[in-house]
Amino acid sequence: MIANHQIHVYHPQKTRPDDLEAIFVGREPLVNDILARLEEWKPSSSRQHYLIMGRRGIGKTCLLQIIRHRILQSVLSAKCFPIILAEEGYSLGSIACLLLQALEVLSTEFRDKEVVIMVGQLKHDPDDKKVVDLALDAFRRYHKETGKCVLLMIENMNRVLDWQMRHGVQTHLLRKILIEEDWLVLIATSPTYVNAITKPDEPLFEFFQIKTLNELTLEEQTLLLNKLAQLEGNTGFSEHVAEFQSKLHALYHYTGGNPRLSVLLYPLIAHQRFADVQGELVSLLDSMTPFYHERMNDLAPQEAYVIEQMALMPECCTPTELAKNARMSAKIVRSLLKRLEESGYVRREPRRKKQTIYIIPERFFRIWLQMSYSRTLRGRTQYLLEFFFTWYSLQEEHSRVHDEWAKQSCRGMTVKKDDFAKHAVEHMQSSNVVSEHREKYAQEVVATFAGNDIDIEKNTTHARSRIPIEPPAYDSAKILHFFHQKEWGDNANNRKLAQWFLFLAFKARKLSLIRDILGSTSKHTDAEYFTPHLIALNFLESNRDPSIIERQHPEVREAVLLLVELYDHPNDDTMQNNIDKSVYENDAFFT
Amino acid sequence: MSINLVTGGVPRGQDYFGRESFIEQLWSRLRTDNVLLLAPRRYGKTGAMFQLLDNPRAPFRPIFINVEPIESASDFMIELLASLRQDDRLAQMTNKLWEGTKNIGKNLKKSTAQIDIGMFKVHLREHTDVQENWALYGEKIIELLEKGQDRPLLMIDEFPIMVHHIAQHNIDELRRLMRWFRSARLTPKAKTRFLLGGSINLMPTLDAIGLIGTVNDLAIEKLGPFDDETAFRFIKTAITSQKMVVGEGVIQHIVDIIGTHVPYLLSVLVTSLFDRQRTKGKPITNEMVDDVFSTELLSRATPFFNHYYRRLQDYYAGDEVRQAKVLLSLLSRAAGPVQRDTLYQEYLRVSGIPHTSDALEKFLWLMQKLENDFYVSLFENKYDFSNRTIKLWWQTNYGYQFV
Repeated sequence: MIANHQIHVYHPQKTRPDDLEAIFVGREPLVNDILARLEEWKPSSSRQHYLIMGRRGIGKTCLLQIIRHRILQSVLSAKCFPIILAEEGYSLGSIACLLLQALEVLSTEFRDKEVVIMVGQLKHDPDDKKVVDLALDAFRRYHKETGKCVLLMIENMNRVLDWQMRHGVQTHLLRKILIEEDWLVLIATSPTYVNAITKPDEPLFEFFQIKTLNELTLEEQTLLLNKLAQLEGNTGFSEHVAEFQSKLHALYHYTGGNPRLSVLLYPLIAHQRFADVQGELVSLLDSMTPFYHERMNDLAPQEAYVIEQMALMPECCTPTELAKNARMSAKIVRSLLKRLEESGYVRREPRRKKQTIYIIPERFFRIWLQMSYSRTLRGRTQYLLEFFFTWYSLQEEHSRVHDEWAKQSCRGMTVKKDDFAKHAVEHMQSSNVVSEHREKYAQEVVATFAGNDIDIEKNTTHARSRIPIEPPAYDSAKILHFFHQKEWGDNANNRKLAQWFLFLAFKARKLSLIRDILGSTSKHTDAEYFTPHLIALNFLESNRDPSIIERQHPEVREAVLLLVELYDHPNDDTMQNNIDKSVYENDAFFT
Repeated sequence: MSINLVTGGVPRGQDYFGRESFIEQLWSRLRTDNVLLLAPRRYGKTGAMFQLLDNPRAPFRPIFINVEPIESASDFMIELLASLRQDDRLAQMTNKLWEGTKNIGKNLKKSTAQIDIGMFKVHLREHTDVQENWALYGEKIIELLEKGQDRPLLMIDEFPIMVHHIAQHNIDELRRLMRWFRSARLTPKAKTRFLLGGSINLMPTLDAIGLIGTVNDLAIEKLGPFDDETAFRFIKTAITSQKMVVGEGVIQHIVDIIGTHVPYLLSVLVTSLFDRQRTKGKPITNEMVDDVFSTELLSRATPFFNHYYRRLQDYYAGDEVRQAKVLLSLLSRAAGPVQRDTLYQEYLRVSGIPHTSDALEKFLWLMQKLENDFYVSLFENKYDFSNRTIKLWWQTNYGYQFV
């Protein structure tokens, strides 16, 4: 949340249009093009339908909201009525459903008596042909009476056409309607390729003008961050950024220019914080889990597997190396990489010694994959090491961070007894990464475990790979008792703590306790963080009414299902991978 | 003159560019014949139909119907009846069909023809026996239209897709529909003129089920790509309309590089150039054209051309698939056009059969299908690919695979 301006990163439609306008960057030419074409619309004229493609978080929803806002705020509102069918929709299983939903939006805003009655009649009619015929009549009537066209904007067209409307005739029907109905212009969005549009045998093949939303450039991302700071009233931001230009480059390195990530990572750069960046990072990774899960779900299983394998390898890899790691044929890997490249998941880099190499351009995604999918200790810590190397690129920053961490480590050692060694090791590892005295701290890490059954070697990397970093056993009673004594305020640490309590409450299968915790936290912290918990609670309390989950945003739904899984299988250790470990290592927590 | 580039959708008005003489030819042909309008996808068939619709010429009253989602003969009839009702003058004739019919009559009075098309269709389905006796209604409506002053021009787009759908559901129903439709077209006093459009292969589909004879009365009109001069004018007009800045010789370079002047491919290339220029803020140069062509157009065009390969598999019957692939591969490897006799020898070799009159007939039929489907063209007894880009594409991808 930025002061009084709440930017909903997952639900741009909930953000005030003025705030969206205030942070809108890099897409002006496209919006202007689309609006200019709409201005020229008249019956019996050419109509251009669009498919806007781009990965999740690239700004598709935001773009549609801006288009809608600008139409409603301009003279175009006399010519065009915009309807957005939100991406939460999972019920667009047929053209009948699609038209009915669009008609419902029209009836809400147009308030024409006949349209309202029509919606009421059709809503429960099982005859799809009838619904299509009569819904089209209603739109025609609206067009005739107002002289307006309808700009229908549908999100996640890939899901609608490739998954939900599986019957080919539905796609033919959509094409017929788009050709015959003069009053209709369609803008669809998709995070990935839509088979129904890109396969030559499909009715809608090459039917749309395809516009790809690219990642922001470094300059555009800097502009976005400045706009966010301006919205927040953070006057010191520009001065701070000037001091540490490397941060902008590092942020760009990690986000790959993804606008949603840029907004999410803005706090890392907005304030002069050093030592708590690790906590902030882990918390962000945690909160990004539903988003990235959904992104992975957009991929076919083989594509997802290849991406996963790629993330666990060194940053640049050749198809042959990847094929070897993934135990697949090089031919298949090349074809998968081609498709992944077209969808923006991977990027082909300039050749290395005559070999083609690929990277995952959005490093934060790569870090998340490492955090989520690695089964080795080294993999689980590697992401932190990679992050800090880039984030603190200046020696001055290294030293400053090192000093702060060293102090924290000492404090942790004096206060915390049980897991002191593990606690210290993590701090030392981090220090080791950024310190100019790496060797010295490597020795300290080794010394910490002197006498244990670890085969100690002087090779730091190898030693690091052997250090066990597992969550300590927790005392749920103690934690829950602590919860009731806690003074709450809105900051990242408290959000993490609250998430940890909720985690325990779900594991304990105590619904009343979950409600109790949510009641307390939502008063003080940003309630959006706990949306999945609340929905999971409602779902469980409703005796598992599926409609509660089905109507949710896909990313929220994923998080809700994880929580329900946790509730159903409290002893499944794999669930702990999604829990932020730094929470229970917080010093204050154990005092 | 100013035009908007329409990528994928239907260009109308002056956005439907460079086809003036073809439209003239179409009107002229419709005066004497029912027409089957053939062209590969994205060549502008639907755009041509809309040109006729938007600029009708007496005595014709054009009606446009897209039939691609239709899966049964009765739904086709319902669509036809509902479409005829949208034209006021034709509706005066067709409404007589419902005289004395209580339910429909009431519905006709209270509804608006141009708006309540859906309501009319629902009434036909729920309150009449059109679904059961569609052929009877078809005969009646053709009879009624004979009595009027006007000549309905029914433009039925994506007809082959409908045929394909119905064939999948009920082959007997398709047989009845095609026979009724043929007799409707050939009624001596018939005033209704039909223009059928479609890009997938109507002939092979009907041939495979023994119905090829039901469309042999149709005059075939083919819509080809732009010639060089029209392509030049198209690009120049599009660039001028967008107030874009181009270097000297760039337009001719675009014409040369794209080779095949499919309107859709030209639109994609020019639109991509606009986007690129806007991003770079520099005039369009030959180098920019080369870059956009290789990075954006070729990747888009690959599925476009792939369609040529895959539809052989989907719409040609049995041995014809391999025979066609081998003949096309031979043509792709040849520097110029190939004698028909040479291709026939290759046909006999790949089929493993000796020359007989039956074999020659089958070969000629296959070549005719390839010609109708825009793979090849015949000139002075020699065949060659219908355009250079597809020839190069085929040679690169399949030229040495089928021998």
